[in-house]
Amino acid sequence: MIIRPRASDVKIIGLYTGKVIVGVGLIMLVPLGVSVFFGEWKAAADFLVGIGACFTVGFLFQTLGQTRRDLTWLHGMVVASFSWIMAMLLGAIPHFLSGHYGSYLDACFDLMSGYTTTGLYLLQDLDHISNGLNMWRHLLTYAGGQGIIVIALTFLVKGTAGAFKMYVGEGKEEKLMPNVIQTARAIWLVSLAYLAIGSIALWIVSMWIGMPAVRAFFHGIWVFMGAWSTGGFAPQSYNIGYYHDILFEMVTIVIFTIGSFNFALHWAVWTGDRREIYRNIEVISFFITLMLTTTIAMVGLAKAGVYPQAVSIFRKAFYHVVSGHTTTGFGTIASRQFIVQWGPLAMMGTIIAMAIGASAASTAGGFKGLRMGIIWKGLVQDVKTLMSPGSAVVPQWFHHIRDHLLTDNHVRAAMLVVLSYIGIYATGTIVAMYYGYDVMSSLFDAVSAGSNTGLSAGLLSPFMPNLLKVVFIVEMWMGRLEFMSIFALVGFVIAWIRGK
Amino acid sequence: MARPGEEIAVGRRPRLKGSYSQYAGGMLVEILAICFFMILAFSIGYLVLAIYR
Repeated sequence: MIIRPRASDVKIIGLYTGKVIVGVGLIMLVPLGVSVFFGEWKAAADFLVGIGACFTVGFLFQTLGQTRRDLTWLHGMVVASFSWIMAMLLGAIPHFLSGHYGSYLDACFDLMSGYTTTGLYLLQDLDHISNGLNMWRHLLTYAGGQGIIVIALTFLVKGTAGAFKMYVGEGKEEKLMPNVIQTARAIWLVSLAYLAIGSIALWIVSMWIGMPAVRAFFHGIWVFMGAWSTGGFAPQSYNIGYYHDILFEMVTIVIFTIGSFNFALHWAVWTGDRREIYRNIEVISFFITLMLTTTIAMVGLAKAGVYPQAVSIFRKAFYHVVSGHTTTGFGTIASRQFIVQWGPLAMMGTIIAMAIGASAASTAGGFKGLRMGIIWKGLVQDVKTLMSPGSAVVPQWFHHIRDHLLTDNHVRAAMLVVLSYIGIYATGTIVAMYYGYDVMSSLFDAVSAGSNTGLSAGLLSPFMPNLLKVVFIVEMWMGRLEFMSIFALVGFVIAWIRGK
Repeated sequence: MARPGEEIAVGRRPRLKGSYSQYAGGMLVEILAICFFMILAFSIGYLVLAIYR
């Protein structure tokens, strides 16, 4: 028998969701300030409406949800997944009011893409949007990269035993410190330190290539936010190709690769354990799969004969494969060039890189290097066991912050998540193919959405079918939260409807 | 009063581990590691293309 949730269950979910929604409203104050700075009064009014809606709904949820209960695991998971839906619906208000969207669904698509650090967009006429809206697009991807629950834990939630349950629900499982709120603050310390250094570096390079200082300053901040969060949003429709500069490309590679590292790895290296950078299973796994997929893409490009020089082949292949592998989605070529110039082999290298993704407990998506490493170690262990005498026990270890003895549970958990990812990649591909798109474009864009990457082979457009937009929104949401909290939300809703 | 399971602060607010100079050193190590990797990747990539062609 399914037990229907009690009123107090709904109340506590409403209480914490309300706090997250207020957090989204507070973040909107930044683009509001930028709009006022540039005298963009129409955009400022849009943000005021958005902030008003967030505060009204957020405080209403908190008022109605007053309870002395603590969060259970189910509550934490449901709060995490439900908050992202509410943050999407309310955060889309300034987007929709800007007049750059064909429908509210398109605005919601871009919001989910931003929060989940995907980088796909349906916005029309990107090159002529307000500075305030550009700031909001990039800020929400930066905030989403750290996690909107992490924001709430940092600024809005006092010490509670339930905090860790919401944190885990957002797809992060690692505590940098015993206290989860201190962990959230450490994540912000790392992100803000890199924000300062990375933005200044990109600001200088932007001025070096001829941009006026103020414009270069904002481009520096925005591109940093798109890179660090592995989001892939950029202020111009040509994405990074707009800057047409190798130094700019190299700086962005450094930023989004570091951004794709596990926060636990950052914290270990930052607090003195420097050797962790080359001992960690995720780093090793990432660099091996990156070199393999880059090689596939390079051979594909050499075979296609698109770029005459070896340096050009490496530059194009490496940039897009690193961008795909870190699930950033920055590009220096137009979307359709993947289909008409790169060809299937080079595209497949990029697709595999996107599907694998980068590190767990980072801003990145995909299977994650940790799971790839664990599955590989499990395979090695099985082969060693087969080759050993029947009674032999073959222990296998892997290093992630500390040494771990590999168990069947590790391999099972890794395999389940990888299979779930393959499920969403396949679903998106099949739905796209149903609407008549070719196999490679469908696979490329579906994997890009599910792994929260943001590269597109040209399938994505405001004119694509609404059902496909919804499927991609769900793919991005599931890929970012890593399934469990979404299954919990679905289970909660079913229990509410059918429970007794 | 704290309820069962609630995290309570005892004495001063707990500080993050490590010092700012240590953080800066960690940041530098990460940046240098990526730069080293880019050089390594370029060398391997160039070699692969030379063999393929």
